[in-house]
Formats: sequence, structure tokens, C-alpha cells
Amino acid sequence: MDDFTPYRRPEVKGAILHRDALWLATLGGLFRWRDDRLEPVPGFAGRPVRALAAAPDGVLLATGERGAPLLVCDESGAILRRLPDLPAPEAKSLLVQDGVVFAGGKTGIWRLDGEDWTAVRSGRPYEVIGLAGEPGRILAFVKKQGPGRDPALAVSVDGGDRWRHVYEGSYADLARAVAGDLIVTQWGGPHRLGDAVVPRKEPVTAAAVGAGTVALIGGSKLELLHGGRCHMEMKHPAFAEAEILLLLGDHALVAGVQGALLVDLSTGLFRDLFGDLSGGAAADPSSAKVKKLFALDGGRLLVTASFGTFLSEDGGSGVWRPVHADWSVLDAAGVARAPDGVWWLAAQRGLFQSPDNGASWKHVKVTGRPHGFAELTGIAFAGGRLALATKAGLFLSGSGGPKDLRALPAFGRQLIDGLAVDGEARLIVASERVLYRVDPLDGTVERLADLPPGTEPLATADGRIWLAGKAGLFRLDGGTPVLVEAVAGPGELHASVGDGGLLAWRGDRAWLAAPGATPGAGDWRDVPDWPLGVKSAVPAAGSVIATDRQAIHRRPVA
Amino acid sequence: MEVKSTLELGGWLWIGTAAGLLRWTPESAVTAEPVPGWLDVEVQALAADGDSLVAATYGPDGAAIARCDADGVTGERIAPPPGEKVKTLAACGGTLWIGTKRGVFRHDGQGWSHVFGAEILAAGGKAEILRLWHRGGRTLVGSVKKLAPDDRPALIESVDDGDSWTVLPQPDYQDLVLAAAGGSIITRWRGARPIDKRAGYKKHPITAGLIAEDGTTAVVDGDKLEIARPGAAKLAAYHPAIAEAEHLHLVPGGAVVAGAQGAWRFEPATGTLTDLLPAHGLDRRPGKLKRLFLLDGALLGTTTFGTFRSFDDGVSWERADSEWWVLDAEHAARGAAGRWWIACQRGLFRTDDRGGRIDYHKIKVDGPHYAELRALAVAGDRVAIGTKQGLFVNRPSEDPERFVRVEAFGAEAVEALACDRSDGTLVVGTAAGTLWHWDWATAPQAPAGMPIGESAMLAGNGVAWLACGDRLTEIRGRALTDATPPDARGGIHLTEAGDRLFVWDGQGAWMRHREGRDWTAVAGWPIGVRHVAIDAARGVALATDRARLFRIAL
Repeated sequence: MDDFTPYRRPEVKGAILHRDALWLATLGGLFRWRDDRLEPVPGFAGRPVRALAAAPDGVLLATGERGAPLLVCDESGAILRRLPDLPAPEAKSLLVQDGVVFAGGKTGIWRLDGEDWTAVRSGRPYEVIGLAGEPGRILAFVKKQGPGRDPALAVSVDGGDRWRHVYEGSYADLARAVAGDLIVTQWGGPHRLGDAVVPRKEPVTAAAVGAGTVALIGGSKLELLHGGRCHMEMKHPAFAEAEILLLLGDHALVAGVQGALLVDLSTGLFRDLFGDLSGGAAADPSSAKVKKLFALDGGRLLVTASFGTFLSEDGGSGVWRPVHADWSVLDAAGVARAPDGVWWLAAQRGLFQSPDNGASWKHVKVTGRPHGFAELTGIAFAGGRLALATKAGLFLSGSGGPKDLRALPAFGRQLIDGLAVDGEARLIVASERVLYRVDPLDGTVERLADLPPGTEPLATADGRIWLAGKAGLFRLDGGTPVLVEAVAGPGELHASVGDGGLLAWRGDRAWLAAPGATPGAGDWRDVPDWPLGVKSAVPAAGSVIATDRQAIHRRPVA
Repeated sequence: MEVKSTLELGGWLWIGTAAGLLRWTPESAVTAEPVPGWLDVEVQALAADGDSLVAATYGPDGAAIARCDADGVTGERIAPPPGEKVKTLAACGGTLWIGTKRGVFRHDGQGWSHVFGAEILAAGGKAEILRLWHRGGRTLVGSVKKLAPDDRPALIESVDDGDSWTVLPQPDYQDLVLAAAGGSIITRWRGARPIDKRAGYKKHPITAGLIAEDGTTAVVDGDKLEIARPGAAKLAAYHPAIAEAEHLHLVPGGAVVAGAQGAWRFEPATGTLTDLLPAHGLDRRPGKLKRLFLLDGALLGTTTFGTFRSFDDGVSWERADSEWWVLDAEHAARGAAGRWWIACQRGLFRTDDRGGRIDYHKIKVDGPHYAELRALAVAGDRVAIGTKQGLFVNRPSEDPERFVRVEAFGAEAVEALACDRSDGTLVVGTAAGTLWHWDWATAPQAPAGMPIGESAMLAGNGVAWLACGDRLTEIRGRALTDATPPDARGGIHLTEAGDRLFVWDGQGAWMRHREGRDWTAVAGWPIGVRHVAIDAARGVALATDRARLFRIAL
């Protein structure tokens, strides 16, 4: 029913400049930019490529859904050879250094010694999202490692035999680039290794280091730091959330979930590389994701996607138009309506507000005190206070308004899984397998119950609290979770709330309870013809709108 | 070398300087080439008349407007109207228009006629023209600095070669129009915007701007070059060298900026800065050494080509790490914890290491804007700035960048400020001719009235001394006494030398104790001194006549 074709761009997972061509690994295949045009590399159309690296005789690729098999292709795309499979097929990063192949995955770094892979660094977790080679050393960008699942930058100067962490950051402060003793991290930005930093208001999602220049993308801004007081910045919504940045002389490649942009650094003009491709692999729905649906006021629906953010005025009946947002891609965790009617949206790496019911979204520059957020996981307004659930605690706005955000000491830097607001304007907070009730005005925290495994809270319009997730659907009754038998069954249960009531779905079945229903066994109605693999859904008036990440489905309900 | 004017014509960028005409194209050379026959000619303004170049010049033969061919070879020369100094120039189809302090004059081949400003001047008003642009056809557009009745800037337009004019007054004092085209406008403090839209105040003043035919706007905004192209990412590139530039052109790879600092090509992608003025083939007259300040023993020199620091009385200099290389500094004052404040016409700066690093201090105002800084006084962490739009003071406890206007002094320009260190009170002199005492909190007292123009003032133990024009006035309570040194010839300046007053003019310098009556002439004082810094502890005066630095034992 939706037509996002003009907007879809394949998610770019890796990029290298190799022999005068720019190679792009995407979820929709392998692409090559040369002679001022982008072309799909034959043989890889529609085939996910998750990582790539320059090899002496071609390009090394991690293909397939989980990064296997590993293939080496020549410049024409012909497969030259297949490397032995990794012990765990999960290559997220590749490197060929001095003829030796390295692969990074969720549990470590492997080196191909002859026909066998050797685990040269491992851990559970030890998630390596980037490998880079410099003369005499190899760098591994580690997303999570150790008991705290903290990021790190590992260096080997002996061909991968031994690794040393030159940086270990606090949670989510990933290393993005390094040169000498200068490092660029997600929340600390560019700084000397070991220096204390103040958390940025716009996290760095990509960085690169060139001759005397440090480049980074923070929010929707591409910055080039040339040293001293000389620097440059370009701002465009399309840059936001890019995780790949390559410096190419007077141009830069900015790429990620939004596709790939070739930016002229002297003019600010940029070329949307996949925008030149009509149909075909660039529009392949499986190469880009429709991520979340949200119901706003008056039947408006907001959809966030890897290729942009869109609004429907007619309950999702077919016409979706792009919103005006400071960041084109909003990796939304949740939305909430403030008492003054302004909608707020918590994206993983930024907070946004919309005064016009979703038509435009403005980035709100905030930082938490006394520590940063790491990433946002949820949002709510309770008692006139803004509450942000984050990967590093629960934050509440103070007397200074929504920009005056302070961490609630009771939660410290705990991961907050979710939050909702009950009928008495109190926060119901899920964190580390426990459910809490929090008074937003005085910060009092009350432990309610053990959280059913894998569930998160949500609230219906009448203020009742529900818990949904792997363990099923539960009604919070006097502070105690009570299983809703009517929708019980195997598999993870999802739920959402909207004008149409409370929606629960699992596998190929979905049930709807009308607003205000108890709901007992008899109050649930089956939603017919429920598609498989629904990730997000909204019960609107008269229909349910759902997405399986590839398309939007509308199911009328009586 | 100071660049006075620039023009894109015939594939060249023409650069008019104080010492000749040059031209440059990015394809041919790194630096500009001097145009033969223009050595030692000051090129004040440039314009295109079709494919021909027109230049307003001051040379050995006096002022002229010269028509040139495509290579800059001079043909017809026309004298400007008697008594008029050309500020800007436009041309079309053989007709010339010049903008001067007194309006717009047109030359149609027969002679000059005063086509804008005559009536305003006759009524006692002002009509100073900053820029003229010919838009083709019979349309002429101009930027007026101050226009009667309230001296606000204005955009003027004529669609009949200047016979009649439409005036679009700008709402804000000193918010000068820098460019206007295609429904867009760029003004000094509100920046680039559609002409019918208002915009908030910029935190830096905009000194140069352009609007291209495709809708691209570019501005020099403090040390920032900002380019906004339709459909592109907004580009902002920073370099201290570009601050205060008054001319801007977009060229492949970046931009050329020019002004008092010379002409520079700036390439944002690499941060490369290239001096376009050649080292040879042109009389590279040194720029001006404008002001000297002693910051707790460090000598700071501000020049038209940068800001420098010396620890050996000016024998050797190092470039200060200043956010703007060119600081048009007027005053410096010491604050709390060794911080020095430097007031320039268009910005306030601070340094915590005696000029090693100098940062722009953003002045955030919610209400009326300050337009231009005129005076400075500091008491601890409290900073008072006298401006064209009244007295502004900071609110250090709330936000170090927040300043508010003190309404008790109104919106008149504040020309003189001094802090009486004996009791911390401020002495404030307004252009309206009132001298006030103010304790930073309660209602100010107005003990005296006197003409107050551009001034220097000192205060101590309840006494204030004001140097203004040809006179030094001592103010005790309500009593005003002429304290001018008898030998002073006029245009006097005042500074302090420890517990003494130090006064100089273009001919001599004199000192006396604050409570004394008799002045002592300083021996060996050079002629033409424009600014002085005194090291009272060592008994040394460091002075400049804008070209040289003098060290005089006191």
C-alpha cells in the first residue's frame, strides 16, 4: 500500500576507495562508483554485502545475511575465490594487511593463517565493528567488550598476535577514528587520548583522519578540523546518522543507512549516489528498512525508516510525505506528547520536538547531568516533567524545563529498558529485570515487582499499565503483573497502543482490544490476515497499520 | 596591503588596492598580477560598464574616474564633483553613478547631477552611500549608511537611472545593507534572508556578503565564511584571516576575501589560505600599526594585517593566536583573575594569557542591539560596554555572554566610560552630553553636562578626566575645569601612567600627577603619534604613528 520507492536507498555497510573506484557494500548488493556513475557489480545484485576490504588481487567481501561466505572478487565482479568460512559466520569488518586477512565479528578478531582461521582476540562479547591498517599496526574498533560491554580501541603491532587496548570508553562512547594520540569518540568527539571530555550534544557517528585534517559527522553536521582555528562545517539533514565517512581529496563520502552521498567540500553540493539509480537494486525493499510507526494526533501517522521519516494525514491509507526534520533519518525509540501539545521524539542518538503534529522535527540539543545519556531508549511526560529512558540511566527534567535533564540517582547508569505513565501521572520504569514506580515530581522510587522476562511497559489511554515481550502480555494489577491468558502462546509477543485500543501480536496472529475494554477473554478480536514478521504496528481508528520492515500493511477491523 | 575594492569582470577578479590595481584568475596564477600603469594609484572603487572597467582613483594627478579597456588600459578620465570623495561606483551604457558621503551623483556625459541626497542634506540630514549596484536596464540599487530622520540605514532603488528613488528604511540602527538582489538581502547584524523577512541578530557582525543569480548567498560573518546554496549543505568555514574582510567572491574551491588584511584565497576543503597579493612588482606598503596595549607586561600590537605580541618592547613580535587576526581594537581593560578585555568596533574579545590566545566574546542581547562598541570599563567580573545604542553590562552570574542594556542611560551612544577604582563606580559619558556616575545598581546621578564625542576618560578618587577633541576636562562633583596642557595643539588623547595622567596630541606629550596642576612635557616625543602604551613601572612609553614604533623613556 505504501510507495516509498523514490526514497528508498540501500543501507551502506562499508565503503573503500580501491583502484580509482569507490566500492560500496550494501544490503542490496555491491556497487561501484567510477567515471561519475554508480553501477551495480554484476553477480551481487540483491545480495547483502556486510563488509569489504581491499585485497591485493581484488576486493574481499563478507556476503550473505550473516556475513558469510567470504569472497574475493576482481574488478569486474567475477569471484576469484572463496575463503574458508569463519568459525562463527558473523563478519562485521574485514582487513587485508600485508597480505594477511583479518575478520572482526561479535566475539573477536580472526586471522586467516593458511586455510585456517585463528582467533587472535576473543571475548563474549568482543564485538569488532571496524578494522583498519596503518603502517606497522592494526586497529580494531570494538563496540562492546568486557563485563561492562564497554567500547575499546585495540591495537596490534605484531601482525595480530597480541592486542592492547589504547582506549576504553564508557558505555556507548565508541571510538570512531584515531591518529597518533588523537582520538574521535562518539560522545567525546575529537580529543587527546586520556583527556577528560564533556559529552557532546550531537554524537559523532562517523569520523576519518586525513593529511592534517580530522573529519567527523556529528548529528547533521559534517566537520573538518584542519588544525588551529581553521575548520569547516556543513550541515544537512541527509548527513545525520551516517556511519561511514571517507575523505577523497576535495570530496567526502558520507554513507550509512541513508545510502551514499558524495559531498563537494568546496561548495557544499552533494550527489545522492543511489538517487541516480532508477528502480533495480537501489529500490529493493529488502535493502532498506521501514522501522517504526507512531500514532500522533488527529489520525496522523508517523513512520520512521532507514531512508527517511514520513507522515500520513489519512491514517496510512497510502499517501506518505517526507517530514521536514533536522535529521532525515530518525532512529526513533519512542514519542510522547507534552502537556502543551508539542510532540517529542526520542531517537537513539538525539531528541526532537514537533510543534506541528509531526510535520517538522527540530533537534533539541540536550545533555544529561551529571553524566551523558549514551543512547535514548524511551520517552514520556509525567506530571509535566520530561522523562528520558536511556542506556545510562533515567533522566528527568528539572525546574529549568525540558533542557534541564538530570539523572535520577537511584538508577545511576543502569540501562532503562522502557517506561510508561500510569493513570496517576507516575512513571512505570523497567530496568534490569525489575519494575519500578517513580514519582516524577520528587524522584521517589518504589520497587513494584520482578519484571517478566523480556517485557517492557506500555500504558493505555485509561492509564492502565501493560507489560509485553518474550514472556507474553501482562496486566499490572495493584503493582503485580498478571498474565493475559487470552493472547498467551509461544514466541515473543508485541503490543502497542493507539486510537483503536490495545494491539497485541505474535507470529501470524494479532488481537485487538477496544479502548476502555477490561480486556477479558471476550474483549479481544482477531485482526484478520496478519502478515508475518511485523516489527511495529499502530491500532488506528478502524484499522491496524503495521510494518514488517519492508512494507506497510493496513488491516481493517470492524 | 589594504584592498579597497574588487570586481569580477571578463574572467578576472580585479583588485583595487591602496597602491595599485591588480587582477587575478584562478586558472592562471597563484597570485594576482599588477596591471601596468596603475602603480601608486589608490583604487577606491570599481565597476563594470558592459565589458569595460571603470575605476575611481586617487593618484598623483588627483581624484578621477577612469574608463579602461578589457586589459585595464586607461582611457577617458572624469573628475568627480568638486569636494566629493567617491565611496562607491556604478556604470551602465556610458552613464556613471558615484556614491559619496552626500548621496548619489550621476554623470551622463555632460556633467554631474546630484540625484539622491540633495534634499536630505538641505534639511540637515545625512545621506552617506556605502554601495551602489547597477542591475541592468535602468535599475540602480544603493545602500545608505544613515538616512534622515533617525539615521537608520536604508536600501534605495531607482528604476529610472536615478531620477526617482524608492527608499526601504532598515529597522535597526547600524544594520547596514551589504547586498540585495533577487528578493534577498544581507545586512550587517541580521544576515542573509528574504527581503521581507526579519531575522534574529547574528552573534558576529557580517562584514561582506554576496547574492548570486542562482540564489546562493555567501557572507563573511566574523571569522566564518558561510555559503548557502539552494539544495546544498550549508557550508561554514572558519579562519582568523578572513575576519573583518569587506569583499567576497566565490571562486572554484572556495572564496576570495579581501579588505584591510589584503586579499586571500581560502579553500575550505583543505583549510588552505593563499595570499593573492604578489611579493614583487608592486609597492607593498606595510599596513598600519594601529593600537598598542600593555597587558601586564606583554605588549599587544593591533595592525591592519594581524595582531601581535612582544615581550621586548617591540624588538621581536609573535603572532597572537587570535580568533580574528585583525582586531580593530579601541580599548583594553583588565578584569578579574588576570583576564583582559579588548573592545573593538565590532566585537568584544577576551584573553586569559596576556594576548597569547584571544577569543571573541559573544555578546548575547535579547532586546535592542548594541550596533557598535565605543567604550569599555571593567570592574572585577563586571564588564560595561559603551555602544552606539547605549550602555550594556554583562550578567556574569547568569551567563557570561549575556549583556543587557541599562535603560537609565537611554539609547544614546555612550562615548566615554571609566571605572573609578576607589569605589568601583562607573563614570559614563553619553553623546547627548551628560556625564553620569553610576554604582552598577541604583539610579545613576548626572552631575555634569558637556559636549562628549569620541573620548578617552579616566577616573579615580571621585575625580574624572575626559579628553575629547581639543580639550581635557577635569570633573570634580559638578565642577568642570579645563585641564588641557597649555602647549597642546588639539586632538588630544589621554591614558594613565601609574598615578599620573598622560596626555598627547600629534605634536607632543605631557604628564602630571592626578592631583597636580602643572604639566611636564615629555622630551623627545615623536611627531604624529596616534597611540601609546605606558609602562609606568619601568618609565617607558611605547608609541606608534601607525607606521613605526617608538620607545620613549619617561
